[in-house]
Amino acid sequence: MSSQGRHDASHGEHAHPDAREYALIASILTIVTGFEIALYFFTGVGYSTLVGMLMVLMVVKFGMVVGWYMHLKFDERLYTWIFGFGLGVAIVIVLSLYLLFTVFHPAEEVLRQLPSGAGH
Amino acid sequence: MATRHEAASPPRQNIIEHPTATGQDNRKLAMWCFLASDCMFFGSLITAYLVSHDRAAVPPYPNDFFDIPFTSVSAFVLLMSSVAMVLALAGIQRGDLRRFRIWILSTGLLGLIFLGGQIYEFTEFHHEGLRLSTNLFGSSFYVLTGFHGAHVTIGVFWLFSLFLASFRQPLVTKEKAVNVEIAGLYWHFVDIVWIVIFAVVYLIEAG
Repeated sequence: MSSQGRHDASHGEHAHPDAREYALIASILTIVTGFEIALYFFTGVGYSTLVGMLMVLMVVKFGMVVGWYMHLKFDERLYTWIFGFGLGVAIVIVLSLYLLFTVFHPAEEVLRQLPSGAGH
Repeated sequence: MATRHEAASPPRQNIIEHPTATGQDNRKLAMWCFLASDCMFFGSLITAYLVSHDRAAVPPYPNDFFDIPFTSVSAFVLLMSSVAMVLALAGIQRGDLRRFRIWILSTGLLGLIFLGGQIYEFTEFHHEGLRLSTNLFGSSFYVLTGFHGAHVTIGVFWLFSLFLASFRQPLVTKEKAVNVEIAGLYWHFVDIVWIVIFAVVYLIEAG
């Protein structure tokens, strides 16, 4: 069998990060987190802009942890496809249900239709 | 009969002790499959929160509760635990058991600190009147963050068991670094879920 006793060649092909690079990634993540928190205190930004900026920063942090710390950037493409599939389905779920419940059935409309004294 | 082939120079080693169809370690592949499914799981919970939290007909409401500075510290703690985890993996891949033990223990302790913060936060919210059955906001919030907390708890147990195993069994060695790598994948996933929860649930809500 071709895979019998085979060492995973891809690990030898890519240079994996060393401690210094991990520390650099950690520093970047800390700075990005600090910027996220700073946005909370900076009230001059409009809500839509705030949401957009927070989403971008969230994606940056997400990508860095997945890419460097989880080694997806240096590992087999198979893992990227597997995780990407799950992540893609999750994103579709979030977007489609969020649109359904905010655009087509906004909260104000639902609350208005509730009988008075309704539970939650 | 499977043969063992050990890489000579790179810091990472992935010894496959038996043939697999993909050429990859089946346990690592299984963990990635699990993480993909967990993405969908947390995606569903986050969606449930997003569509529910502003439909509470009765108070309390999100803006009444969130302490962003406190939660920011929690987020930072979990982020640093990911750094410690990756350094623990680097240590065991170099065969440095001492460095591995230091960093894996640090990861577990940081995870415990995060859990302590969550417990404190839940207790405060409970005292202020937000319970699981109070309203839609309470239900969706506690279910989402509760499941995340449960994942962190499992991860902490896993990390401490790896720490103990490094003393007593030949389970944690340079040749078997994949065992630590798999635990690391789980722990980093827990961190990235909190990255999303922190932004979506706390920051955007408070903005």
